[in-house]
Amino acid sequence: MDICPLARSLARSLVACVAITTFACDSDDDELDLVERELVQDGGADDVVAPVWTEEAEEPNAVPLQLVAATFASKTASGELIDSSVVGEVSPAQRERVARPYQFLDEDKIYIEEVWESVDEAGNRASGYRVWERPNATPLEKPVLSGPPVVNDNVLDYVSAASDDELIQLDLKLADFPDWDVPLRPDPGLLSPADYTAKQLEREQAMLDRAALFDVIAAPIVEEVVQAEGTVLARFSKPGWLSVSVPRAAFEALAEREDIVRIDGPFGKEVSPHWDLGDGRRAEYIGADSYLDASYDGGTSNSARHSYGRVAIAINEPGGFEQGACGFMNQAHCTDSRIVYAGRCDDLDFDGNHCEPGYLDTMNDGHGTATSSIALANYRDGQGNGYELGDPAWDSNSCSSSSDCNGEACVGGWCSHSPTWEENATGMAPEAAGVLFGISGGTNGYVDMFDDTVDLGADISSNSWGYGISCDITSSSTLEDMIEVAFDDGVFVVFSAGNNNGDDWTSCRTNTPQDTPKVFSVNAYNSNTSDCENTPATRCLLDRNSCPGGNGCSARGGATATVAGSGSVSDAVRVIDAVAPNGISFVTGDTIGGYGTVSVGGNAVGTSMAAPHVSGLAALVKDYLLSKGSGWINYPGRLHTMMLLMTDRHFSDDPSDGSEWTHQLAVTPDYHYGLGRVKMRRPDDSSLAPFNFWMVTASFTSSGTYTFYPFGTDDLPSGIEMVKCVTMQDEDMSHKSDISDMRLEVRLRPNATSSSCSGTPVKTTISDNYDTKKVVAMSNTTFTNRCIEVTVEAEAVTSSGITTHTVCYYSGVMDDEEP
Amino acid sequence: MKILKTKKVLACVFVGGATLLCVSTALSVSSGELMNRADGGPRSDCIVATVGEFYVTQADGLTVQSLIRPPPTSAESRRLALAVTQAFVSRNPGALQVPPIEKRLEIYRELLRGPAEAPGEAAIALGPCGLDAHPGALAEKNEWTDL
Repeated sequence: MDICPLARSLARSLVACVAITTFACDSDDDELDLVERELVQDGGADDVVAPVWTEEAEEPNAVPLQLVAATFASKTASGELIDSSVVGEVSPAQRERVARPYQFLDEDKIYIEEVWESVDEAGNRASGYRVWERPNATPLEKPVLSGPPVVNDNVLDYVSAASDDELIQLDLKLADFPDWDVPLRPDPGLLSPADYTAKQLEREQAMLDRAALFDVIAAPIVEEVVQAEGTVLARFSKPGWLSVSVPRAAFEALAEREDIVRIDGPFGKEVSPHWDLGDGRRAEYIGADSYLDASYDGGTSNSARHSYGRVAIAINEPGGFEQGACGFMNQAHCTDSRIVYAGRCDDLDFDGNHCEPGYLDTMNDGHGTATSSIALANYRDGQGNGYELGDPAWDSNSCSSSSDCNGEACVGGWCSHSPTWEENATGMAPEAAGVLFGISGGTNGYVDMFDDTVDLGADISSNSWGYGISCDITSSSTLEDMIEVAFDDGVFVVFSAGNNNGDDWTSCRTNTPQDTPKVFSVNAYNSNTSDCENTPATRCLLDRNSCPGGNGCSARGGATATVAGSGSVSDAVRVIDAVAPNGISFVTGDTIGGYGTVSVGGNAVGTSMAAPHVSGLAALVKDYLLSKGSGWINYPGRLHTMMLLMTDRHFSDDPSDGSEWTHQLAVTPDYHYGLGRVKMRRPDDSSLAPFNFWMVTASFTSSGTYTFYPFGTDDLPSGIEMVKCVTMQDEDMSHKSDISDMRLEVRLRPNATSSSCSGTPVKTTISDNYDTKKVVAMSNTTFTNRCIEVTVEAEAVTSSGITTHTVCYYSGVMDDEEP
Repeated sequence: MKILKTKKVLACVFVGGATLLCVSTALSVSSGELMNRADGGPRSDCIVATVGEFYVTQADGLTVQSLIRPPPTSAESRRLALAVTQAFVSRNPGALQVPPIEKRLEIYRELLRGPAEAPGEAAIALGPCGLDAHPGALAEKNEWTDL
């Protein structure tokens, strides 16, 4: 087949028909020119100034990125297609590299993914997608790890306290076992049946191959364990850990093996587990109603990951759930459950498979039901009709008219609750599906919760539990490595940060695995104060006294980390990603086998209650993007970064002082507040206009800088109040202990034309810290007729390289204001 | 919608048994303009298949490709365009029109909300220009031919 000469522009290479171009190269240039002219006139997919890569060297050389493919579409507010275009093509192999670039940094090319979306005041929505490539001058060598193993501190204490013949439980990490490299799930909604089947078979085969490889590598270890009269408790072939029980006397031999790289042991578990739930959704608070009102409520199918027909939130709990709670239903009169799977994880049959389908309604369901209801509860569709459910205004179950129901509607012979009650009791993602894992039974139970979350393809993992104070960002256990796998397979993992009285601390106080960079860690602010309810913009403060002993329901980030180029840096990693409400009324609680009770006067406290807010909100963001065909949100790290963007940047200069109101940080996350309180922004919300959203995923194997023009180089429109950018580093801590040193810089330049953005910056804002997250915001300046330039710089890179996600938007409304 | 706006009719051939080529009138298989009941208007882009009485065109594939992020390949897009049209026609056997491809895609994805709602298959007639379909799909259906 003939290929058009490379000198031809991308504009003419692939529009409307790949083959047209190919054929026309030989025989019909007139036709080709016609196509090209139309492209230019339409300003479609390729009408953009290329980002630039500058390698850090003695003589830095700025090189434009090469466009691989670009697509563009615009629709009216009612969804009618106005325009669309396609340039180039992303091959299946390139798609894998775009999705998880950090796994391919040993190759000679690096791929960069860009997406953008804008809405005008008429509600017309334009969106685009681009993939770029650049040569990788410094391809990395994949490390080969070998023993003898690192032995975690908790294991040494544990082993030394045991007698020789006492059985001890050890978790063994296999040497030279590959990171999670199974192809991502295909989407039957975005592929033909034949293509979907082929890709699904490819993934399934890769899973089988991985399990087989695990067995081969583990065989000699298993043999030694059996010879020592020990047993294998669990095989976790996803992260590459073997859980065994062996006599204490067998420990030293295992600790000298070359085919084990780390030994971990059982942790001591420390779980301590009237703002109405629905109030939080309102525009002046979290703003989730902006999504719900537009029907982005978690009810969109994510066929790329599962067939539940809704975005699926997996909720992991130490205890059980009120599994049949009315709020988890989908239809009136407590029917049609949205709980699509329930797994009991205490290995009741001792077969080593800890989580198996089972009933989770036990005597200890209050905590799990409350956290789940914050994410999932829905009473909006008459679910509660005909049942009292703790509503003090309830009159009667059956009815013939509203006079039987304290004036509320009588529907189908059942009394309704008031609309206010229904709204107050409804959580963040009322149409999402729930996957419940409970009754953990121990560490392996928690590990298997994440293992099964990957198998089921749940979108989000919500966790309101944790082990003791850690502040160690390295991944040193089966649990943390399994979370790394879940992240790498596209699961957004949310954890409560911990009830550690963090407001009184000036050094790190976070639990584990919350301290893993790939976990979205949520602190709590006290919504149950009149200040917060009445003046939410500045007076929703970190909870300082609601947890046991009058302590604050909060953690404090600031983990010490080894930073490339700088060595050990104390207080480097903020750990905390965002804050969300605690002190919530109207959460659903336990009734022991019934439909649950909505606690009207209750006060659900702890970071446990903050985390599921974020889980539910993330389901809304996924719903929105999936409904727009943006399957990229399923790729690892993207949703995490999107949720970092959905914050208001508020923090307190002194979290221990109740009179110190919050204000907005301009750069750099805070140790207590992360990037601020969660605050939703829906990209096609015309009340935010002008609004333009952009995201890029870019990787580094050496020091250098990418330069982007996220909103193009043309004049910015009038009416912009702020520009905000967030960067997240995909730091995989399963094989290393250091992190890369990144810098995010945003410049407002004066000379905006269709071909360049230049001139001495009018304003420059830089986020340059050792954290794995960066935030930059610009406001109080004139954006009109100017342009924005963004640089993402790797100042120093670890030997593993680094993949980053950067999201920016401009908006006509500040990020802490009500649209 | 951005499609080839030339008035020349395009047709497609296979080269080496795999690659779809579109060329202008010299290789056209039919008269100047093709009517698709879906739109009731002229369609100047290459037809890759027909489903019942409806055409699936290369432009349909391109529209699909432009709406999905990350985009499928052009071949995957055409196969998906065909699949969504099949699904629509099989569920609306008496339809006089099919909606635009972007709507067919939306409907198809809605059909996938639950396993019981998997899209069905519909009889497919040969299109005038074939499809560089997945080899498995070709063998399985035996309904595509090279032009």
